[in-house]
Amino acid sequence: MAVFLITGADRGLGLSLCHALLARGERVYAGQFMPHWPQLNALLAQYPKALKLLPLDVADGASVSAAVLQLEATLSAPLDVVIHNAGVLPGKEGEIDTGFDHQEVLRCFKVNALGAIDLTRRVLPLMAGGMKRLCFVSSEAGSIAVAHRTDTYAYCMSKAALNMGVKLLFNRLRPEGFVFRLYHPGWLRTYMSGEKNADARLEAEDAAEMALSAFLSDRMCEDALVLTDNEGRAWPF
Amino acid sequence: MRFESALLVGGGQRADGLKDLLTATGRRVQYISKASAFDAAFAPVDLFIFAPDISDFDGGAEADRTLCEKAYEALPLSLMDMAALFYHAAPNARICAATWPEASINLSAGTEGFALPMALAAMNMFLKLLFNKLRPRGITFRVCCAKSPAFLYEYFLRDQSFEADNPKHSDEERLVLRGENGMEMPW
Repeated sequence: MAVFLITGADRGLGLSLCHALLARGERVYAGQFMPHWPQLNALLAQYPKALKLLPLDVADGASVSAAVLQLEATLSAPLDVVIHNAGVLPGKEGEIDTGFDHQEVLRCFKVNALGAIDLTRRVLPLMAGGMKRLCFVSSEAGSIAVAHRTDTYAYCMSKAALNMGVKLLFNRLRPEGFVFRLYHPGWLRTYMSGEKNADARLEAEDAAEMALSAFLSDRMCEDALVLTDNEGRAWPF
Repeated sequence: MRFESALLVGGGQRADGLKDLLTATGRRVQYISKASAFDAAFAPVDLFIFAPDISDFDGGAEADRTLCEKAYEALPLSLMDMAALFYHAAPNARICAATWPEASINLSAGTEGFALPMALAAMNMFLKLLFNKLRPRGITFRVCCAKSPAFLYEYFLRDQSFEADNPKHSDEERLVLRGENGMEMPW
C-alpha cells in the first residue's frame, strides 16, 4: 500500500485520481481547496481510513507550510508519490489591445507553476525511503515549440514556467533516485475555468485511469525529462 | 533608414549599450524602464526592444516565492505591459526581446535559482503567442540571449537572409531563440 498526495483534489481529475487510487487500496492525502464542495467529503465517508483531507491552497505559501506540518504530524510511513494536479484557467486575463490583468496572470502562475515547485521542495524530507515519484499535470499548452494559440496567455505561460521548474527539480533530484512524470492529460470535462467544460473530449474518470497508467508504470529510461500525453506521445518544450 | 524610431524598455548594461548604438546610428530612441512611462508623443515606433535587467533575480535561493513572483512581474508581466503598443504597431514594425541563456528548458542544467528561469520560460511563451497573433500582420520578431549589446543590435536590426546556403538563412515565419553566436537554441 503506497502513500499518495494529490493537490487540487476537490473535483475533476484530482477527485477521480483519488477515487481510482482508493479503489486500488492505496492511501491518499487529498489537497482540499474548496471545503464547501461536497464530493471529496462524500469520498471520505466511503474511505474513512485510507483517505485524509488536507486543507491546501498551493498559491498560498502559508497554506502550503500548514499542510506540510499536518502531513509531518500524521504520516506513519514515507510519502511515496506526489501528484501535482491543482490548476486554473483564468477567464478574464485581458487581451493584447486592452491590456492584461496582472493579478489574474500572477494568480495563474502561482497555482499552476510556483505552487507545485514550492510544495515539492517542502515535502522532499517526507519522501525519504519511499518510492520517490513526482508527477506533474502540465499541458500541451505549455509547449512553446508547438504553441498555436493566440489567446489563453496566462495559462500557456504558467505551464511553460511549470515545465521549466520541473526541469530544474529533475536536474537536482534525478541523481537522488527520484522519478518524474510531466504529463498532459488531454482535454477534460472538468472545472478548470470554474464551470464544467462539457465540450471537452474526456471524462475525468477515464482520464484518471490513463494518467495513473503513465504515473505508475516504469520506463526503460528515467534519465530524461519528457512531456508526454494521455496517448503516450512526447511533446517538445 | 529602416527602423528610425526605437522604443527600448528595460535596464542594465545591455540596454544601455543598445541605446548608445541606436542613437549613434542616428535613430530616435525612447529608453524607459517600464512601458507605463511611454510618452505617446514619441509615436510612431517601428522598433520595439525589451531588454530587462535581471540583476535582482539572477541566482537566488531555491524557489523563494517572493523572488519568483517579483521575477514574474519584472519579466513576462512587464513585457505584457508593452502589448497594447505592439498591437497598434505598423506592419513594418519589429518586436525584439533580449533574453538570457537560462530561458531554454531543453538546455537547462541548473538545479537551483528557480525565479529567473521560470519567468524567462513564461516570457518565451508570451512571445510565441504574440508572434502567432501579430506575425500575420507583417510584424517581424527577434529573440536572442546574447550578452553583447553589439551582437544584439546587429541581430535585432538585420533582415534575414533567404538564401538557403547562407549560414544566416532564416525564416521570418518561425519564431526562434538564438544564442551568443547566433545559433538557434531549442526552447
